[in-house]
Amino acid sequence: MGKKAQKMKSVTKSKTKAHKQKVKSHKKNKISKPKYRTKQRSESQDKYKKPEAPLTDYLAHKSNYIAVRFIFECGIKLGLKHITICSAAVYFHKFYKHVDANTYDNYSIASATLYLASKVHDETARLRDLINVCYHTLHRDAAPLRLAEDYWNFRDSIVHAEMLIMRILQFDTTFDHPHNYFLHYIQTLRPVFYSKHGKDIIVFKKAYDFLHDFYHSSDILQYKAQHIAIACIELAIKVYGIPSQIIDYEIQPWYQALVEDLDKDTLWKAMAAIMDTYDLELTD
Amino acid sequence: MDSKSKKYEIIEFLGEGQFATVYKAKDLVTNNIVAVKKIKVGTVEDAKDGVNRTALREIKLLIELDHENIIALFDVFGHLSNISLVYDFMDTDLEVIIKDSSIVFTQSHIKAYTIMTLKGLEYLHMNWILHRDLKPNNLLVNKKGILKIADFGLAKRFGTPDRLHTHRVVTRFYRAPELLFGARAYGPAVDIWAVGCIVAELLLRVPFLPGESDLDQLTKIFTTLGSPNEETWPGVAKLSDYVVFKKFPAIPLREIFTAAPNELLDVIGGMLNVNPLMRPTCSEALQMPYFSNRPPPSLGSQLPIPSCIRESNPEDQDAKGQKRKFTDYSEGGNYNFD
Repeated sequence: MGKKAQKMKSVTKSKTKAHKQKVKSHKKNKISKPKYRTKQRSESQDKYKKPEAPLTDYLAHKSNYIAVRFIFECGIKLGLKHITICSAAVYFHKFYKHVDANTYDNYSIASATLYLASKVHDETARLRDLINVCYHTLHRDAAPLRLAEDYWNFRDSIVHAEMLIMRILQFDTTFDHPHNYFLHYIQTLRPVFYSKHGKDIIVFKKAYDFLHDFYHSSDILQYKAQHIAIACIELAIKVYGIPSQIIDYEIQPWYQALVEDLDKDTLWKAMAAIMDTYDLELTD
Repeated sequence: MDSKSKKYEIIEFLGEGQFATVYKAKDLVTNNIVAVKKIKVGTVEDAKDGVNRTALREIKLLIELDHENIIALFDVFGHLSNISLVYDFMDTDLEVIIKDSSIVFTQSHIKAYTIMTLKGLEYLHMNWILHRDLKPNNLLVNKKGILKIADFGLAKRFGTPDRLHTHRVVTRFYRAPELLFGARAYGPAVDIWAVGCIVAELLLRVPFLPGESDLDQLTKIFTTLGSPNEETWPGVAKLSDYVVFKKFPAIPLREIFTAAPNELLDVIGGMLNVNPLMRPTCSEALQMPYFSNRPPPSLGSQLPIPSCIRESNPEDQDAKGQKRKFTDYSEGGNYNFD
């Protein structure tokens, strides 16, 4: 697989590189502008509202973690389904598993994975909308991209990157997402964990948050979908502390009723991987 | 990916459509004969939008499927900005066989084709996939007499209740009445309707309901099978494009298909029920007495082979038969997907 990826790269490398440079060049022009938007927000925040997280300045970061955050932000702005965004994140991780991190521009690849995922999931996102959203997310203060050279260059780079991603993925766009299993496990567990005060809902919601955050890490490719789903729930249980009389690990760990091939070691490794995701933000 | 394009040696050109060019080729590793469909990036519009959606849909679905009566996708490879798909090589399709006047169908032949179609379709529906473009020239047949469902350019996953589909699918002659009335939440029954039309066409040797426009299609359906009302099809008037028709009585199928056995008429009548909820599923259809009664279905080797292939001239044998099939790939592209 690695060898093939090398070969595939060599064919289109020169082309995409040229596009990358074009995209980069227009980025440079805009980067020097002062960023008032983020400051204004934090100053004028409403006291009664939860303060909003500051907007990420994507161009200041180069890590894959931040690039996946970019995928999520653009995907949500485009109104794509969660599963579509998650597929895009998976394509992104798969792509960088085979490709040297410095060869391609992170955000062009991220935009292209989003476009590819929207096609795979039969969404109606138009390429032009996607370009505008991605461009605006990268350059928050810039004027809308005019239908001029920069636009066509960006468009070309996405289209070329899409083809490249398809080839790196070997045209296999399918991925077994943990979501389906997650939903079934939650439905099975709800009566067991039922709490008058709605604590079960909080736990499940947190577990779902873990699941989505885990897509920021390339470890999502390492574990079976079922195991990830269980690990997210188990981690949420550990964080919030479900009373031990409900689930007695001494008798039988609860998850063994749902998944047969999950041993304690794998589960703990998966949970550690989920927790490690939160350290990725700090590395750059 | 130079390694892969060298893996196949083109033997001959088979046909060309708006979106694809098809070649007969030899796999140099396994020595198998395959069909290579090269997706064009010809038009400016296409090139701008990147990977062709129809091709992507076909790859995505076929990569997961494996059934004797479904076309197999062996390989996909990209060369520059082209994508090529590698399939089973199929000698002909059901439309060529139906139109070949030198072939006489026996009851066993018809039964064999129907069973193979239903088995492939049953597998698709069990995997939550609607084909949405069943017609004789998407049912490919090889020299061994095995029928395989092909062309997944319009296929789609179904089963999520809140996801609507477009009603602008299926070639008109084989389009179910609920689609013509603009239904957007439909299911496997649309494919069953198409199979019903195909079985009828096997008996008549001409398309059963050849409508000239969408409205004419409905007229043909209702003048033949009787117009629906709230009793025979509850809720029909609520469909968005519903049109009131004059009351037509159904023509007894016996008068249309004079030579068909009663059990077969039950099958056709069930599949061509105007109410989609009353049509049998593939599995139910296969359980109907017709399929277990005598005569048994023909074995593959006993099935007829069209004259254009029988003549052992390998130079131009497939050109006639194959050409039409692939031009239809382009028709799918004219629909709006949503």
